[in-house]
Amino acid sequence: MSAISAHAGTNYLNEKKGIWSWASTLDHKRIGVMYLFSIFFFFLIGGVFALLLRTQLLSPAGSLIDAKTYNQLFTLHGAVMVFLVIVPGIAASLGNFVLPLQLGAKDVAFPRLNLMSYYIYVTGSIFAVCSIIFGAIDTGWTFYAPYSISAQGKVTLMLTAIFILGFSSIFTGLNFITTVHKLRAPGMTWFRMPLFVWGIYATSILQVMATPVLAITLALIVVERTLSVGIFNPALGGDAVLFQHFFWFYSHPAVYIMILPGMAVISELVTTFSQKKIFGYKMIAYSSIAIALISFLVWGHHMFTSGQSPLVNMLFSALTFLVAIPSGIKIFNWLATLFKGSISLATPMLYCLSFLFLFTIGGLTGVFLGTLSVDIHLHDTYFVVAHFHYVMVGGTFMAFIGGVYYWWPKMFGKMYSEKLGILGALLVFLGFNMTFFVQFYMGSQGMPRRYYNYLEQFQTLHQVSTFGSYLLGVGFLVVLINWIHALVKGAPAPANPFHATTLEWTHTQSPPITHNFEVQPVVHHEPYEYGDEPHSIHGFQGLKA
Amino acid sequence: MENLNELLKMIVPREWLFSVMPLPSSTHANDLDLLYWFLIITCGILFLLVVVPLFLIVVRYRRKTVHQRAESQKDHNFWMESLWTFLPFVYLAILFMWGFLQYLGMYVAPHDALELRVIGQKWQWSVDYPKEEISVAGVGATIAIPINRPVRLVMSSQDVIHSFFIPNMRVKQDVVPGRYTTLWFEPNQLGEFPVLCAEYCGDLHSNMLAKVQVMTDDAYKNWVEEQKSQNQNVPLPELGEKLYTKLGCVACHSTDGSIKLAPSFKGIYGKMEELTSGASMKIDDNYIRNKLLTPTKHTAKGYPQIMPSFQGRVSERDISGIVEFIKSLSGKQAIEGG
Amino acid sequence: MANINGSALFPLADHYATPEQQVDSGKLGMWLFLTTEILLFGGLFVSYACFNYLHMDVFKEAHKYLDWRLGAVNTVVLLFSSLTVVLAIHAAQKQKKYLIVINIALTIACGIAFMAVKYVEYSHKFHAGLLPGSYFTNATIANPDQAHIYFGIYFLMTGLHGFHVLIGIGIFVWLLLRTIKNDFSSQYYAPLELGGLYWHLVDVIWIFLFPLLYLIS
Repeated sequence: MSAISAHAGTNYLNEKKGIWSWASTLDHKRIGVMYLFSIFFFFLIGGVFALLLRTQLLSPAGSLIDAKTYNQLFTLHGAVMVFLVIVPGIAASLGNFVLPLQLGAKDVAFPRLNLMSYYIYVTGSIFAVCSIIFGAIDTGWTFYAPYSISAQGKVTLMLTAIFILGFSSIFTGLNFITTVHKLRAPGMTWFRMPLFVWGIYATSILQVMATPVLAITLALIVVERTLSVGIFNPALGGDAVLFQHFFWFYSHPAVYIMILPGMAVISELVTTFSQKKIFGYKMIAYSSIAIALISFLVWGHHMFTSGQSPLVNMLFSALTFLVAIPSGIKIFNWLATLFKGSISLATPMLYCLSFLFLFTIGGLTGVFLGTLSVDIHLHDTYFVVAHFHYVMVGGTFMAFIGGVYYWWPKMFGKMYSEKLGILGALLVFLGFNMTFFVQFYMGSQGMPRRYYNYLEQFQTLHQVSTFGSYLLGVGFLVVLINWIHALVKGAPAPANPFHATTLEWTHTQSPPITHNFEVQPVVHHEPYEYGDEPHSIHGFQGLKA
Repeated sequence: MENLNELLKMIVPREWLFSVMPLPSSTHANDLDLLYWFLIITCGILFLLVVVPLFLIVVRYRRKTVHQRAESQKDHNFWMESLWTFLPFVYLAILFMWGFLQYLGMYVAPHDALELRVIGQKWQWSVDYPKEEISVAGVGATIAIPINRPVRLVMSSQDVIHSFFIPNMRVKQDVVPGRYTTLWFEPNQLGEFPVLCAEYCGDLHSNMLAKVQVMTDDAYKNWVEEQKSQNQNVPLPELGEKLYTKLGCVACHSTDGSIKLAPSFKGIYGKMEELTSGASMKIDDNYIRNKLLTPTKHTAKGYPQIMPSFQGRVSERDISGIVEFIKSLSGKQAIEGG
Repeated sequence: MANINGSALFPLADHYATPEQQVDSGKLGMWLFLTTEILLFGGLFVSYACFNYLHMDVFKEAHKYLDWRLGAVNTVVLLFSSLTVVLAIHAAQKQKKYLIVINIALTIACGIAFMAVKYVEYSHKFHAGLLPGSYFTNATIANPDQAHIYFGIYFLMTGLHGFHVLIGIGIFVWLLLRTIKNDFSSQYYAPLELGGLYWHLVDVIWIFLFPLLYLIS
């Protein structure tokens, strides 16, 4: 242990300096941090698009922007948020930073490939930004044929961007799967892995299996636009609905690529901030894998009104209900973990509780949409928009922010401000509900999505939603300010400020050294052993002195 | 189910029932709102089942001192876990069956339904009344239908995918280029109801509006007469008859039952036709459409495949016209035979 | 520290504990990558299946415009190249450098031969106007109305496959250079194995493409 003190002061952030040392780094921690900043940069861009959209919807006739611009904005909001923010999101940033540490590994299995994935991501995002600058597209982020085949704008450029981003996603997933299989510390059996690792592992399977299909689908649209092959174009003898099958075969698993890492973060937060062993470890681990596998079989529920046969609709409806069960299991297991715990209401935990509240709503409204006849009415209305945002923002993004707060001391060695943290969390929670809860009602009333003007009866509700989105924007700004403040003026963080039990907290300093651990950790017990004595097993606590 | 409906009306005030969903105006709507309210109530209970314990637990077990330990480290309970795996399963199974059966009812149209043909194009709906030989089109067009009579829409798109959505009737169906889709409903409220496009289709997607006007039978008859007198458009069957000679169908297909180079149109609609591949197919709208556009796909047994494709030469309305024309040649026979 | 377990001949990366761990990781990674490749082609196979079902007559008619003998030649060429890859790995295990070089060179030659045959086939189709979509100008084919879809799918599938063959040739040129630089030994020949796995996949995909496109009955 004395070896650790000798290195005090040196860590992965300050061992090498200069931009080139970052640009050429093979360190998973630095790559994770670069992803984190890139993703939040694009989150801000996507967020500005969203605020413009909401401002346009303040009045029924809308005078801020014209229809074409509105259509471009919602397309870009969707494309940026989905492909540049949430799909890489937690897995590429927190996953890269935390996964090898939690496994007791020195790095991911293929560090060069990891850096390459990051540069592929950057290349893809440059293509995306170019397509925005040189001719914004208005196809919707779903690129439905035949509209996307004939649409104006740099559709091909945007499709190329997403094609490239897909490979970043594939390589990251491939890297993580191999890391989990081959680089676990001695004694780290499968059932001694933290649940965050299980969640990321399930996500990676989805990334590797589903993304290639998206790649080929988008490539086919590009070919349609350039060569008019006719596969998706009815005017040339093709089939427009086939595109939807292909697209959702990726894009439904992609929804779980987005939510599974969120659930993975929540599993860590719930147990750490209640200082209690996670309830039903195996159930949570298996349910992640179950979600990953079943999610390949439910894509057709996006197409209940597309004209596919009732038999197919029936099958997809049944499978959709089936995929709801593992999510429900997780919710109840988390509740049971909190029961009789010692619950701290630190900022990460506030996001965890927000997640439980919002994701429950998101999940239950998903049940509405899985019910065949009800979906016929709700399909393509604001109800779907609200449901999707409750799951993706209320679920994934709450978990993301909570996770960043949680691992912030480990990443940067600085503590954030708890007061600002609480303020931000409250604003985000209130703003989010105000923005999206009314949309369930509008959807039930029959307000279709992607409308740039609307019937007058909806005006009050739209205004509530818009003001909610401003509040949400302010909340995110407070979060951002808190993080910047923490970077500049934050108090130095101890090795394990939250008394967590996983290796990244117990076996290395904050921030970790470049090679993660001074001594190869050896694992002797399950991941969440809090022991009988206060913090008795947190060996690293002694190092503070 | 009637009882449940009554029970629900006692629990939920009537004005609420009609405030979450738009005014129910079709037979579908009444059934669907029942299920919708069942969902709202049961999911509401489930939501409370999660959130109330969550709140109580957080209040009760909040950490009061820095070194406070968890009261228990219990990490499993077989019966509890089985319970919350199994009960959702039962609940979801009920929802699935209910939703599916209701959907089947919404899918299969009654035989006596009034049939309208709908064509979606950027950015307007046009609707043809084949029997009445009238048509309406344009943004904000009024589609009149008689009350308490099932209506079946046969729809296709001229360009990209649209979706025909009447919130008050609780029906929605994508309108896809290159194929026919259908929906049906039976209005039971008089009044005017908005028709919206629910699938994003470009610049003026949100302006692609029309309205359904539900009328009494007499008002409907008057409306039809009024339309007939002012309608400039050629009715569909007549259009089909014109195309029959113009496109040269007349060279191979007779209308009097005599055999030329291809099957006669007389009485062919609705018949099962044996194909060269050995299978047999019903001659319906989709069959005629495919035959016009991709004639090589299926060929009737005993005839050479000599039909050319009319891809790009006929509009959606033309196809509908030809279908209606062929149908009109079979109408009488079908009734006599059946 | 890393070299305690690894032999001097084995370039062990310092985040691995043992050479076995490194080699196993590489193989697992490659298998996962091959899975994604299969899924990538999977999209095209599904399109093929859909349109073959929708336009069976057209597909039957159009496939006669491909020369199955050229396809068969290419199949044999690729099968033979898979054999030479296996022999190269075998030679590496026996530490026979000249055999590795010969076998890799043969593999590259087969790859080039395959592409040459493809070039002949493609140029014939360009001349005959048997092209995808709106570029389809061939007038001799019966039922031309949907034939362009068959050729669209033909060019997509063989084009994507040909692109993989080109990448494979590049990989083997790189492996050849490394062999000449004495990078490989009986201890360390993992890149050869990984390159070989990739080449086998390219081969297997062709074995599916050949009957689907050339031998429709």
